[in-house]
Amino acid sequence: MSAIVSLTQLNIWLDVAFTSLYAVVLVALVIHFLGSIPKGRFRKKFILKKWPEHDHAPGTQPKLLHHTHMLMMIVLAISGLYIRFPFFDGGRTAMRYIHYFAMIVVTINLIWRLWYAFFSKQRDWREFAITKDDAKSALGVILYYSYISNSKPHTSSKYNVMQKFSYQFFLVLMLMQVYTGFALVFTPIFWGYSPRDILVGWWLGVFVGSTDLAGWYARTAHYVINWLFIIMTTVHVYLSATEDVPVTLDFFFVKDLEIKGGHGHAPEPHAVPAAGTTAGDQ
Amino acid sequence: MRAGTLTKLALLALALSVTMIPAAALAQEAPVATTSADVIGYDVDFTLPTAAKAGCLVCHGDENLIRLREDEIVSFFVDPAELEAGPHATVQCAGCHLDFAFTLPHVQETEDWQRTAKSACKNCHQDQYVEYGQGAHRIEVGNGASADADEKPLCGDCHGAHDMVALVDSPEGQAAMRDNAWEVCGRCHEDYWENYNDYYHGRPFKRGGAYDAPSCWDCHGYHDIRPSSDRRSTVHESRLAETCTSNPACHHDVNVDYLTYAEMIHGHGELLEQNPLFDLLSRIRSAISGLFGG
Repeated sequence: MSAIVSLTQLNIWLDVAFTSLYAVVLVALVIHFLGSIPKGRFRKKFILKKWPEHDHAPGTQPKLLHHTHMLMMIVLAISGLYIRFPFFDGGRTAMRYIHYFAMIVVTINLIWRLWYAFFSKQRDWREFAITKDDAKSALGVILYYSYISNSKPHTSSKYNVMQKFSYQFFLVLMLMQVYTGFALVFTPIFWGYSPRDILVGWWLGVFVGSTDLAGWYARTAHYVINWLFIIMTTVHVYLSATEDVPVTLDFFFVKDLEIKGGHGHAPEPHAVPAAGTTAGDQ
Repeated sequence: MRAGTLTKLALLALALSVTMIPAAALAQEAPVATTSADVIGYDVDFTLPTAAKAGCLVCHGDENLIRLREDEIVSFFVDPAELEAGPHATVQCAGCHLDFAFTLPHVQETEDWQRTAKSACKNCHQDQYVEYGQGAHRIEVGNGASADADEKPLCGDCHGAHDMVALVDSPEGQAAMRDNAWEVCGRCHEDYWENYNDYYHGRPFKRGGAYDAPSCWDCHGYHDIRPSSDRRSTVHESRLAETCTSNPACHHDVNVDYLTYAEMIHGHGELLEQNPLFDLLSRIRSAISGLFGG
């Protein structure tokens, strides 16, 4: 019994820890952005307009997929948090159905994106695959984004290793979220069995002693993953907006991306001018 | 002026004076203002209790039927439409207001008539009254009578009065009862109402308007409701599993570990305050607000 008391208290810990962590992340991002000023990156990007160069613009189909996904994930986060913390009166039932609707769209979107990555004409899964070169550049990327090094490792592919890892992690989280989300449905809609019975009841339920308790673990995992999504998406939005504004504007159909052949740069590392210097000083 | 005209004017003046003198006299007799103490009752012997509904509503069906009581306007209006829509549409007023026929005139300074009406249900709903008599809300009599007997709820305190809706086989009735949960339970059990605030029961019920979140009586029972320390209580530790699984829409195969969550149902706030990280953050927040004079 004492073990589950800690599980009960775990709910409290998760609430407190993740809301605190999210506040810390927001503060850290502000500090990180301010750190770009003495490092000269702010001047280079926002004043001198020296943004990464691209040899092609994102395709329309991935853009639409991204926007649909983004919108539905926002809806899922808000409706999901409302279900746990009703922050206005009387919306629970509506929020649940909104959550279900967004969940279906996201699930379809996920299947479509996986098909696009592996089976479509454009199949772009290689753009997300971490290569040996990526592994070698990982330390340099970390040092660059943490301002320890001012040299940005060149990447020959569309994404750097941190992006690739993040997007792969997003995929894993998505699959887990779909799984744990369906595991919360306990209505017996499949020949007397519920999605919870099928997804967690028969194995986790046996392990923890109760199908309902297995559903509780699934709910807890669902909640944790929700926060991971919120935190990672916040960092993703910050980096997208600060590292490459032109491609972000193109992505949101605000302004077309300027295309430069040959990926626009030499294979050596990109040097960022230190504070007080200009690009011409290099 | 001709004599004929003068005669006509004299006759008119006489007629006016004859008409107005009694009215003026009456105006002088009428009290300038009345207080509740002045009103000693109404003569209602023009009607009979056996024809009460038609008779009572002659006056009580008027929405302007009010009295000034202790400087407050009290309405004695009974909405005929609500009565007709309710489950007691065919019951005579005196069927619940049992003391009506014996207390004429029926304006009293005590609230006994309300207690009589609120507990008159027992005459028809005997099974429910027997259950009520076994629960914590029963009113002890004789040697067991407690000092707070007047605070114990009667049928009408939970179920309402003239605007009562049918509960049996009526989703609307169930919904109306749920919507009135604060009036039914919360206004007396304020502490438990306030701390009914966990993730899956209290918050959705109180704030989310969730149809599937349990109201107080879904767990605690109703007519024979007992304190959780009583082994016969539906929320006694030994009966929690039975209670939580009694509705297939709630839980199914709960075990002892799962049931420990029950401490969260009325204890979320307490658990939150015991959390060391929350405590630390609260101290930091207090310190910061202290710096700014908060």
